[in-house]
Amino acid sequence: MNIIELTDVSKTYERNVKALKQFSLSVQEGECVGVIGESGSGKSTLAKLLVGLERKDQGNLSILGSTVSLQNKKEKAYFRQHVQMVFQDATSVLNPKLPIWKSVIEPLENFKNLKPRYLDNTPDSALEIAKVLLNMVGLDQQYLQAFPDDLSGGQKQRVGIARAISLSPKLLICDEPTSSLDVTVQKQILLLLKELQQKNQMSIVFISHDIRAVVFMCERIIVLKDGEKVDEFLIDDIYSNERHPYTKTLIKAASYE
Amino acid sequence: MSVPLLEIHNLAIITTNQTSELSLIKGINLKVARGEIVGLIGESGSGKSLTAKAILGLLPECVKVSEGSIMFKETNVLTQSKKQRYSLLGRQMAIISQDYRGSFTPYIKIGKQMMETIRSHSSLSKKEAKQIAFDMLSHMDLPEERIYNSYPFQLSGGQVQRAAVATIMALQPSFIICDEVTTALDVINGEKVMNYIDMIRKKTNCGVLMITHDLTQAFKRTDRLYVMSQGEIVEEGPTKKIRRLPTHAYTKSLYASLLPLPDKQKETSARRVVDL
Amino acid sequence: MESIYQAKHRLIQYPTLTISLFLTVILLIMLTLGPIIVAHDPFQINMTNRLQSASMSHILGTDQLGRDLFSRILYGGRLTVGLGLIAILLALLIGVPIGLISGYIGGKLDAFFMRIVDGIIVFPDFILAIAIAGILGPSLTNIVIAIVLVKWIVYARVVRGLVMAEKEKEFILAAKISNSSIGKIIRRHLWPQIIPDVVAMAAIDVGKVILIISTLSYIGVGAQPPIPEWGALLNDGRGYFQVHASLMIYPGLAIMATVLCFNLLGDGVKEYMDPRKGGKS
Repeated sequence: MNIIELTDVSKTYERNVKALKQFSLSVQEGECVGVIGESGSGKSTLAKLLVGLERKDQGNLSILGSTVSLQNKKEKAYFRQHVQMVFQDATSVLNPKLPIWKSVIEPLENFKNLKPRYLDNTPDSALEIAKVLLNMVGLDQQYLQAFPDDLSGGQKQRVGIARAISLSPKLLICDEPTSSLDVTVQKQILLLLKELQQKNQMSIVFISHDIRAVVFMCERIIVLKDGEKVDEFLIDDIYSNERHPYTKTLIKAASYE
Repeated sequence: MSVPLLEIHNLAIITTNQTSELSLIKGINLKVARGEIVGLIGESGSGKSLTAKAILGLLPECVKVSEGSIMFKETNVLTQSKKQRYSLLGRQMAIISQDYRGSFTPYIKIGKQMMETIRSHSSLSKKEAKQIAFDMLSHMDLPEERIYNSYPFQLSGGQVQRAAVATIMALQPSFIICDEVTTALDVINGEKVMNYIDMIRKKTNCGVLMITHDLTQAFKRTDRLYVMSQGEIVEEGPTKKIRRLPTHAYTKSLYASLLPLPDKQKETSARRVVDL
Repeated sequence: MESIYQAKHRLIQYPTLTISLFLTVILLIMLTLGPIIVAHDPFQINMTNRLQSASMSHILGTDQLGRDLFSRILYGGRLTVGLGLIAILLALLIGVPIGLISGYIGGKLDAFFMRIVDGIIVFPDFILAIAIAGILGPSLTNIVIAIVLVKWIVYARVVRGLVMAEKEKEFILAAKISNSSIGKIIRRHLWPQIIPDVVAMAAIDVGKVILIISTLSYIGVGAQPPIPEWGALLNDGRGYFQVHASLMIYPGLAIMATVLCFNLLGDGVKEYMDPRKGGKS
């Protein structure tokens, strides 16, 4: 069974703004699929649809076997546990009034009976669990009591990733996870995501405007323009002549040879 | 090389509050010749935008130049009066910045604003100014008639940005600073704007200082490159040379963080071995 | 945890807050301990003693019925300030939850609440308070009801606006997709972001409300004789202003000082809770 199966999904906002038109996507278990799109291409809408923050208007949508209506409490809990998201803006990804350890254990607090495998040798104390989580994303435990304002953008994004993976999700949606970060930090975050994906056998939908980041992360890439899928290809075919003119422009703009 | 268009010598900028002084940038030496496009690259907070503001004379109140000189067309602009420096803006020096939303007044048509800007810097008739505006807009690949008669809010962000660039270029400044121009634009519009700036540069032989954090853009567009980190220039040289052989540790780390695109020649998928 | 030393250091950093807090505490102590301090019964009429100037036994003199002015001002202050605080508290209790829920849940519920709010807010609050107090009949309780009816709207609206600005932030979305309940999101993520603004606003409003209570009593729709509410004291003294101005000056000064004190407190709280808005870095 595919983790994600979207067929002809459309989403229209007020005043007839079509954010997504007849969009189809399937993602298999353990796969990392890239979506390239610029601002206004509908990529944020796609991300929100996939995590159940927005509702589709038309088409069929199935994620982990759920239609994401989230009416049934049990179904909702299952969906929320297994579909997580890494957000774009590192500055607002954490509640500025909460210390880091409280932010990082929040998802686990909501699933009282869940004890993920990585916590096998950890005592049942919130602070200890937070320590393990920070450790998983390469953050020193000295930041446990710190507040978000004390952290750099990259560090905040690491905490955000720790939150997202704390429930051992099957699917991680990344919406521009590095676009608010400095270039030198960007690669570290992408490497971290890659490492976590392989360790936890997650599927990832990696959404970005940065073709280099998408190519770095994914084997299969979808190009989104004005709410429509204009191209889909495997990384080996990136320079193939069959590529859509828009894809070619994007590649050309990102290379300097 | 003849006398450069712009020459910054040993520039230092400090910020002061009641009690203390803080050095923001120091020991900056930078040259831009006529017809040359020079890159100034660095991460956020490295001081590159501050350097640009110092050149234009637009430093905020609490920040001031403590040392050095900025020679523009063989005159030290730092010794000039505020009024003199202000008169340089537009025809002599111009900045194309990443935030274009403020470039037009929202309730006056773009065309009228363009025409007025052109006329306030020259002695052209309305008709001649309009002709120039039309030319510029069509160079920018914009539907000139429609843009000219539109209000800013009727256009997309990319169109407004390109119209703003067209207005600046209509004055044919001899020195242009591009401050993260492509950041706020989508790729296609960004490419269009940069191609256009390049075209104007070749035509009018103006100097361009391109400020960016994007190594790809810098490699692709510039003749020479300055790498800035924590308020100092750590490396400089021809772009080709820095691309081939970066020497400073910071440049190397920037280079290392540039994510690779697949190689065009090799066809095997084995090349995508990831170094974890 | 913040040590006492650090707390002290922060108070020195925020002089407005420190001074206004100090003044407010003195004011509240005086009003609470009022009955113990004063030597005279504020309701005791003594016609032989009327319109006395300040003396050792009556430090602010006496009024037209020979009652001790200082005792009356202290007693009146308990009423005026106390009722002001109660009115604000009640308005907060109604307005803040409605603003939170309306702003966060949105949709039809929000539309419903906001229509009510829009309908009422078109009237200037002071005029509306006079009208409501007038309809309900003159009494202090009715004034409080009138103020609560007018003020909750302001809080609901402001809180709703703050919530709308916060609720699309990524940490709220993150809480949502990790299965946090609406209650938890409001309590843990929204409430801490809006409380500084609400507290500051409430502190400033205490001053305003004290002014409204006094004014309404002054024009006769509030406290009735012989209740020594500050506005009523002003009204009492009105007829004797030319012969014995202190009957109006002292209650007037009391109102002014108190309002100033709460306004300062509001500014101080705002600066302390959100340094960026107070102009400090």
